[in-house]
Amino acid sequence: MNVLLALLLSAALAGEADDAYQAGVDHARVGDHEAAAGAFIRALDAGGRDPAVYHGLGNALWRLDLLGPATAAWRRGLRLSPRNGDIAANLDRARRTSEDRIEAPAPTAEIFFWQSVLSPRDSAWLASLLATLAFAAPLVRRWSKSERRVGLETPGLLGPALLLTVSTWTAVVNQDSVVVVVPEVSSRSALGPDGVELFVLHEGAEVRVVETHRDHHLVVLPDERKGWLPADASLSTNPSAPFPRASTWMGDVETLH
Amino acid sequence: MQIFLLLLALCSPALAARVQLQVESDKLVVGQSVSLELQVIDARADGVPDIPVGDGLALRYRGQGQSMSIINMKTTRVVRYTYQLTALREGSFKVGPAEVDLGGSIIRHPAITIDVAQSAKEGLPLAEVATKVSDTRPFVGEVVAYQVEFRRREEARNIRWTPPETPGFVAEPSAELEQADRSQIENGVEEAVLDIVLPLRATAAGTHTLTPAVIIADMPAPPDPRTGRRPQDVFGRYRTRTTSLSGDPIEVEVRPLPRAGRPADFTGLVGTFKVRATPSARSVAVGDTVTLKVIVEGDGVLAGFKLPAISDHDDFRVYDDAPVVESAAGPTGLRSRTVFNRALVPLRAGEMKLPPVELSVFDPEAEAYVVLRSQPVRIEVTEGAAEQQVQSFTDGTADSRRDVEALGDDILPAPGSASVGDRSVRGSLWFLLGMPLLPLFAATAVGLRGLYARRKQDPWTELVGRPLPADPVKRLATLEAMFREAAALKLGCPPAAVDRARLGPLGEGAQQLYADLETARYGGGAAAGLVDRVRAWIANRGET
Repeated sequence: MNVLLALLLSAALAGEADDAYQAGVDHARVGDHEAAAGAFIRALDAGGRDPAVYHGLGNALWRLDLLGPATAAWRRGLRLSPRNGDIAANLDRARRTSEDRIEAPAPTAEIFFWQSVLSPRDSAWLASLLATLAFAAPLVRRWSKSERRVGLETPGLLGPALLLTVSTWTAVVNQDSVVVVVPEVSSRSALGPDGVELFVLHEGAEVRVVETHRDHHLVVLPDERKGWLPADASLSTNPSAPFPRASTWMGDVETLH
Repeated sequence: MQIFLLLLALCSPALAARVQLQVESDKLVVGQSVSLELQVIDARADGVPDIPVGDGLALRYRGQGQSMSIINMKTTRVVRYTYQLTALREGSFKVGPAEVDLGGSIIRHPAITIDVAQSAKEGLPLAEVATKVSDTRPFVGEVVAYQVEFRRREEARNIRWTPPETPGFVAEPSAELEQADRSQIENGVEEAVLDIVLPLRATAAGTHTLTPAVIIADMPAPPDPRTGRRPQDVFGRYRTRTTSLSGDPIEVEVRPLPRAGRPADFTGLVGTFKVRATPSARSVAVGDTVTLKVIVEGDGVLAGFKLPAISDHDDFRVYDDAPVVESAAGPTGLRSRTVFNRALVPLRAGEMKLPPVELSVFDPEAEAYVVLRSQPVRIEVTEGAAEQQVQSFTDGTADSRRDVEALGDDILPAPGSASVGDRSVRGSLWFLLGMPLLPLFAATAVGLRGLYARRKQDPWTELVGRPLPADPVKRLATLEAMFREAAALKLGCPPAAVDRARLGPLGEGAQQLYADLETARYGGGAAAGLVDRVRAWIANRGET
């Protein structure tokens, strides 16, 4: 029943997301990038967490000179679709204009090398398919009157399925990073008045998050330096996280239509 | 009972948790490192205990382990936290008190005193470690070399080292640690020397103390004072003793980059560099390619550095290649060299003037921002004679097309029409979980059904409840079959093997039933009475 409800709900939201995405594309084509950004965010709110939506949103924010939010949007799109060369090219261009010369955190763990071409959703589907085949194998054996009810194919399929499940879990849960969305932000050694200023990050810098405490992130640079950043100065690259309205970074200008 | 007592013993740690602090030796010489162990007995600490030490000592956490023992049915669990204690200067210093937080309650071990003496200078030591940095007043961003020299006059095996703690510095990732073995003769004595160079990049301004690196090696054990000979093992080899040696702590003042005079186009490079540019040819035809090789080299970090871009010119187009960076740690810091290959395609004949490459860097030697410039490059561009020669022997249908000219660069557009949906894992979670669960449930159901089907029924119960046909002949045959099966169960043989002789152990009642069944089968006797007798015999499980 729950599955059926989820199917119906997703079908209804998909139509709304399609309309919002198309509106965003139309706004972008006539140069109204503020309205385009608003429409793409509406598409996200309607369940359209799709690489194309993040691609369009990143483009609109880039046209609005919002380097940090555009970088975050493209990064989210690339996490959903690691093989999308267009988003990768845009992200590379954005990173070249960033003031801080730091490498982007590796989006995946090295041992799960396939994550550079498989999105978390792809690997989850593959894991689910392998698990389905593993559980279906004993049924096939029974119907084919095989002497052995369980063969080697079940553990042989379940092993890769478990590995892919772990890789999906690490990609979704364990690989959190943020992009700086303000022109300049100081990183401090500790929360509260005792902390000293350690380093300064500029808009567009992407850093890995190792801990979150209330309204601060503990981030780590590629050279292992760590420091606390205020959460409102950064934006998560997790595609499932809410994406703030463009007006958040554009002062009091009302941007949504 | 014994198992219960054992479980009780395992599950009930001793009520009195305690803490012990042990040090390998409480008399040290400057530079010596020893192991210090904090034991938490019958309790578990929250986090790694922090032990205060006097300012003449340095303490570094190395790891932990635990053990459990059962003596007289009493369980003792010991968690060992191991630290490395290094003597930094002469004096008497306290270690502790060690306070261990056991989830709210604090257990304390009193402080112990460590006496540190100057190392004996008479005679040459068998092994020693010296540490230094190439520059004790670097600027932020500058790379210094942390050098360790391990000299020994005895054979040392299994040499390993613990890098220093470097507040205000990070180990430069673009260069690997350098290690080299050599030998030298000093005062007529041959010494083996291990040199280690660790490149460190200054990251935070201020005064910092680098704790000494520690060399750990297996050295020959000292001679026995009674015999004067070195102890040997059963194979005649000299026994060894694990020895820790360290140099002196080093105080370094990291200076910030001056704000005054910082150029707007400062590249962020800190070091002493040179830049030069060399073309692959001095003469080139229109449309052909000439490569301008730009080499930046010097002492400092070049990893990640990108050459300032040159926009396309009316006279030529520019294509940059990926740079090649080489870095190596040396006694003065980090030696780096980057080669940029910049392809140039001239568009018109004449003299092509390439502007010099200019880089604003901070030079620590000059303690100032400097601008590095390469020599300007002039290349003579000819009319493309080679191309004309090729066309000269064609029939006039030569390919006259040109490459599509790039006028600008921009971001790539999003798809114009796309069916968007939730492409995250969360959006497909129901399907992802439901798909494998369907065959799992089906396989489980089939398995349970098979188990139920294979469950064996009590054969006596089945025999008692077996229906009898109405036809007298079939009824008698069924009755006889029931009797034979019951007797076979009782005797442990196949039903077909049951005969009168075999029925002896079952008693006369069984033999009589068999005889009556035989008689009825051949037309004698009454089968009606037999039904009740056979059923009663089976109901009594073959007991008459």
